[in-house]
Amino acid sequence: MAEARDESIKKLFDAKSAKVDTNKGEEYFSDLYESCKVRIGELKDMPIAGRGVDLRKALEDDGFERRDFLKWASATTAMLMLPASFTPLVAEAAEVMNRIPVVWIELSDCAGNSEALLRSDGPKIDEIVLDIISLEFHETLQAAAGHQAEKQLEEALELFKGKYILFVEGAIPLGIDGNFGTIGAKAETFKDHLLRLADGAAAVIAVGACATYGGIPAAAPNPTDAVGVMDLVKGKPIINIPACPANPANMVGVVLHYALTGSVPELDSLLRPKFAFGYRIHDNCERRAHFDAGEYVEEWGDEGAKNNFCLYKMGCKGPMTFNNCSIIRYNEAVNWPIGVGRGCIGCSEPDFWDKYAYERPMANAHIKAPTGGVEKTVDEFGLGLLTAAGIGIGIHAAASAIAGKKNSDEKDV
Amino acid sequence: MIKKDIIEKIEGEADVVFTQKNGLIKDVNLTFPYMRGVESILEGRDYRDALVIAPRVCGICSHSHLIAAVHTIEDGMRREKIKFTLSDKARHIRDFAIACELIQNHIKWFYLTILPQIYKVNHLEVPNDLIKKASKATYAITKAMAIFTGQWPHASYVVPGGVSCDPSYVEIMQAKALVDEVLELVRASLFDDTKEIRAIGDLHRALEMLQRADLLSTSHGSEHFLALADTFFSKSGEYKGATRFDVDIKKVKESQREDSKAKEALYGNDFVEVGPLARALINQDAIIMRLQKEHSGNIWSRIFARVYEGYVLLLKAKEALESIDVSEPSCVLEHNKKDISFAGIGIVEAARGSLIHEVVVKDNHIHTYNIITPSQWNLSRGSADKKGVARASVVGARSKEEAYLILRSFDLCSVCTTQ
Repeated sequence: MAEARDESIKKLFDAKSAKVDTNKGEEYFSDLYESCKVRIGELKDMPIAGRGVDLRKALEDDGFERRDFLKWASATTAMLMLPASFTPLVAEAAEVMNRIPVVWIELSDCAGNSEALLRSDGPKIDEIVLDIISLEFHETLQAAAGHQAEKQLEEALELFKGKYILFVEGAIPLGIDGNFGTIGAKAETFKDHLLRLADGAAAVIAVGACATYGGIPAAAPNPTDAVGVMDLVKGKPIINIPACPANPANMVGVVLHYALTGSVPELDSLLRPKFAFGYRIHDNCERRAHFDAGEYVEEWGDEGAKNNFCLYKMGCKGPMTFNNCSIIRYNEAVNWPIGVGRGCIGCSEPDFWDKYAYERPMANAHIKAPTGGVEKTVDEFGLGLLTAAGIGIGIHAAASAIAGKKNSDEKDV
Repeated sequence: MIKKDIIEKIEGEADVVFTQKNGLIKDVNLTFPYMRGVESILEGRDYRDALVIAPRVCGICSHSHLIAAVHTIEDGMRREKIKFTLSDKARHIRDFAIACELIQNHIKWFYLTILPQIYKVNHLEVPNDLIKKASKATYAITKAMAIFTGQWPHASYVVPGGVSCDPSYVEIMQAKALVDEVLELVRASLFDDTKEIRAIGDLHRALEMLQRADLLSTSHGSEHFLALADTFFSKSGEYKGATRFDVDIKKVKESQREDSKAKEALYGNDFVEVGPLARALINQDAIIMRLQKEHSGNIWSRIFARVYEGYVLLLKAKEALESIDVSEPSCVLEHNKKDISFAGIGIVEAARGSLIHEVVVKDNHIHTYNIITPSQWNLSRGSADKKGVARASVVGARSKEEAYLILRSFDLCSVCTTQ
């Protein structure tokens, strides 16, 4: 089953219909190949960072064969939108990921992303690859706690200054001078804590809806005046991996891309990696055929629901939500929300708690489509989607001013 | 000497200040320097939005919040005589998912929170394979759950009047195989159930280490227990002085603390312990009653009760799967889109104890929303004369590590507590 899934992922991401430019020409890819080789060579010469683990051994311990691993590498290469010839490099990059120190902090959140990442989710080999990253600091996972943990963090910050990747989970409350959230014995505010840690980081990765756009804490009336990482951190490469929870496969993709190329992956205007957020849920939805055929669920438990019809009229936000969960799915790819007959809530889009509220069909959700005005009927809406490049683009354009970063610039880190 | 300390690994963060005298812990103050204000975010929204927002109170017990949220709506509908029928199928699917979330919480807590702390109290190095041991079982059980719920954490498959999923027998078989996988792991490293239930492997090792650290001779327990919800696996009740009483929801009180962002929860005027130990005692579970008697409320009975509940729930989860009749409807709700007003209350037994959601809806919009989480019960501070449950239980601990162990035996969740 896993094999078939890996193959289908590969196919989908290789498909010509992809809206993201995957064919950048032979010259581009041969240059990239050479630079990746050099990069991996450099990483290989570096010692394994503080807490890194050997991947080969970890895979062996869990009963995986080399063959399984290469299959995973091939699917991952496709997911990262690289030509198949990069597969051996991706495999090597996974093996040297343990050279990259990672610091993970939790701010104003529900711990859901840590839960998703570390204990409940993701295809098997992804988990192991994540296990081997050199997690220098993670509050919930590490054995140390309290003062001991604080000391460990300070040491990691000093030792890996300028080199570590900072993962941030959770929003940053700015209300009452940041005192809705403080950390440690010195009661440092979340804001100060984030800025201090971001300062020494090579790149900052905001994981989950809260860290990217403020999420639930920032939902109206935003009682704690919460914001996301990109609203505060300046002058550092920022990568957003939104969704609630974020998909672990995408976290692996980002770290792997960094190991491979030394740079952040191509991002959209909301700083999301295009390999994961270049498509709408709707584009690859298993119920898409029913949308095209005009077959909808009209009420929970009706005949349409029994026949897995399209959930658009029940408020599914798949047509305007950019994410790859229709392909990657959740919990070892066993299922996803639309698979259990509940529409997408649009959790990887900014302000979705307020704009996308859940049981309102999009036509009543007061979201401006690029075609102008609020769509009135499903027919009109379908037409708009199929003719325009996609409703999300309008939203992206509006947000790019805040994000302050254009689509395709790859920054060296 | 008073020293400010922080306790982590309780899923989030809390500040802990210990007062020590002659080397013994005299008092402890736990505060939570953190809040999000989820209740006020819910106010003013469509009542159905709670089904998506309330689970996000906590990524650790998100499903319990989801069920509590749907119970408030269904309770309100019942009071307003709005017709809906919860099919047995929908009920079994919900129960199965509830069981899965509790199982994963219990296993994770044992391996990642309590066992490492037991090693520490014994001045032994914490083995580094504990995460792996826990994750094998938790991956499998959350995967089984996601077959019906779509994802974990933050599932949204529950709707008033039922569930949105419509599984086939193939999916039920798939889930059953996963439950069996976990059961096998539990039988290999926690319980021998061939004759009578007996702690083996890692659980037995925990007991030995507690003995070695001389933690079984003193009591770190409470005498007043509470479980507010009647569920497929436990009955509600109050347990005091070895007698069970019926519960009265009107006796639940909540108050704001001045020095912390958490609220306190009381039953009548008393601080009560909630959680797996409370449930087992209220249900007069023979094994736990015997343990409680033998060990007179020390830390071992609390630890054993929680891991044991995980085992019992695995059997219950299988039962629930076997009871699903796929030909029944998933959801029956006759009204669907009318404007409604109601007041409702939803109570569930979450991993750490009784969880309450309370809502008042006016013309489809949430007027007020109130949440009381399990850790609020166990964590209530109280006063110097009348201490809260967790606070009282650490008095007399011989070291800070020992006090941390006792605090963690309640598995205090600061994410929930501060919302």
